[in-house]
Amino acid sequence: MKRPRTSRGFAYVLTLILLSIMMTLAAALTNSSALSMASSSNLADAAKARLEAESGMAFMLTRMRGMRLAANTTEATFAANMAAALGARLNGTGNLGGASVIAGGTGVSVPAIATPDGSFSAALIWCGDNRCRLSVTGSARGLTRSVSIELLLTPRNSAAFDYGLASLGPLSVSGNSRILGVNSPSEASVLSATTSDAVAVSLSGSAIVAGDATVVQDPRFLTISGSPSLGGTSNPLLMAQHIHAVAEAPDFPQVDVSALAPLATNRLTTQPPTQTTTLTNIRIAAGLNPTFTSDVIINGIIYVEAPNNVQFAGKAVINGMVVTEPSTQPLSACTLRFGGNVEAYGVETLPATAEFSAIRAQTGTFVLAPGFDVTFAGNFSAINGTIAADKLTFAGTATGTVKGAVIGLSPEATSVGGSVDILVDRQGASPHPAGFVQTFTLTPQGTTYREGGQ
Amino acid sequence: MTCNTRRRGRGGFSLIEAAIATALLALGVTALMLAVQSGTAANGAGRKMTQAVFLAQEIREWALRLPFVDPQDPNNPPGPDGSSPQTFVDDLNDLMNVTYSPPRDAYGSPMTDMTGWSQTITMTWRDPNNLSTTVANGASDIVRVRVNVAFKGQEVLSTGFLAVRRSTE
Repeated sequence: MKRPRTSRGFAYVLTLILLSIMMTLAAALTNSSALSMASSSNLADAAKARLEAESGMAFMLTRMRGMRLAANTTEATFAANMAAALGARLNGTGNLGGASVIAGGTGVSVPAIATPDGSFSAALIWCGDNRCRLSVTGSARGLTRSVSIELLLTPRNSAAFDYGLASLGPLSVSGNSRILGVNSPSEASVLSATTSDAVAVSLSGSAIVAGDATVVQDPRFLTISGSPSLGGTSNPLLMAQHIHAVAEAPDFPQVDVSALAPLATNRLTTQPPTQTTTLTNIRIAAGLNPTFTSDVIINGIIYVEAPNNVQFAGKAVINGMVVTEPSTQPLSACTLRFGGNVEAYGVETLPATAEFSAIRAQTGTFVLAPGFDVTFAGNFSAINGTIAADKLTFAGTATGTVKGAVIGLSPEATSVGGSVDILVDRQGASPHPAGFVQTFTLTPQGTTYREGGQ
Repeated sequence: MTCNTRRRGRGGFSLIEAAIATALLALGVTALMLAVQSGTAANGAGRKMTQAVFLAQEIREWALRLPFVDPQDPNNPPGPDGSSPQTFVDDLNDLMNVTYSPPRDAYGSPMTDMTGWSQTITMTWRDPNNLSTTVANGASDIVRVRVNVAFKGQEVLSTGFLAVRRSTE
């Protein structure tokens, strides 16, 4: 009889079965642990990538702060205009390392910008209804995360209009002159955007600036001599609280007189009459160099071709605006001088007749003189809109209520002296002064922020 | 003789058979124990990393709440004000070179149940035109905030983010 063969070696079989179960469990545990580690590591990397994206969003919004898009910005021109505006701020910087903002389709893309923990890239895409979406993708250790927000394109005047008197060049306020706010002292704030002159803003004598003074980069660009007043005080220690230094110069307006020039339909090619007369919508021929010496009333627009030296020396009343042809000729050949007893009032005072219907719509501007040197002297007085010229001088006893701002358009000096009073009335100002190009600002819309945007 | 030998072989496992089986089982148990130990350690490390990410994000959230410069004195140099940053923080750069243990939440309040954890914050001001370049403290409107999160003195996570001066400041 044979012994049953099944019992022999059964321990090995049992052991091997147990061993394989244990090995399977060990492998499963090891795999689970590795997965857990990878998951944690992935979580950390994802968090880093999201921080990069959020950092990139903060950086982009900072760099785009105050940026303006051209007035002709539409869906069709958005990419080109945005590439130009954003490129002006990013191209050539160390951030892009030689790369550039790229326009394509309905938007632009910003190449990757490196950070100590990764990098981020950005894209701005037109999304209709005067909006674009800024999407920023952060990257860390191969993982990416995106955040995005919509920006609203809002038409807005230049930031120079936020000041009562703003000059691209140095500004001097001296003598007994006063710059006051009609409704609030803040309306009479002044700004000089120059950084190339040793002195940006000079306050001297007994001059009064009711608002604050702003310079670019360094408050030391403002000098004080005599006993002027700034921000309601003559105490130098307290005045310091009313002096501000901004990192970047606010943008100054672009001028476009093309819509105004055709409104001057009566060309003046001979010297103006010496007897009392009334003129309407005149266009002063280049090189005429007229002097208005007698009692004269000018209604509507005065358009001055360049070059020209125009002088108001007698009694004159201007009901409307003065606009010059943009000029690059020497300022000595392009001057406007308001002396004598000149009074000026806005276009809203013109009669509602057909000949003034077009000009009455061009509100908010009194003098728009790109390329001209403009002087207000004598007993000039005005209640009118914004005054802007390449060079501005206020002297004598000139007095004006400016419903808008006084703007020096070039690096030439702006000077306010004598016993001049400039009263700034922002409440009565036109929101869109005629002849100034409105550009678009970009305003983030907080409610549109989202993570994982495209 | 042949018959006796047969009788002995029929009586259960041999000693060698049992010894080998025991050794194999010991090997399996050891491997299983090692796997369990390794898994426990890995899970612990993963949990730590998750906690560290949370603590870094708390600092990020806190930083978002703080003004870029001192609201009382914008010219106050970067760094903690006169009082200790452990008790008073009113702007972002008050957090410079500060270690919090117990760590702080998004409101700056201590998380007392997280003993052993710490958050160390350092800051470098960056050139806006080249984020790789540092500038003097306070000399720009962009700060790189670095957060090192440690558990019982051992670093678990190091990460950073940019903080910028807001348009309203």
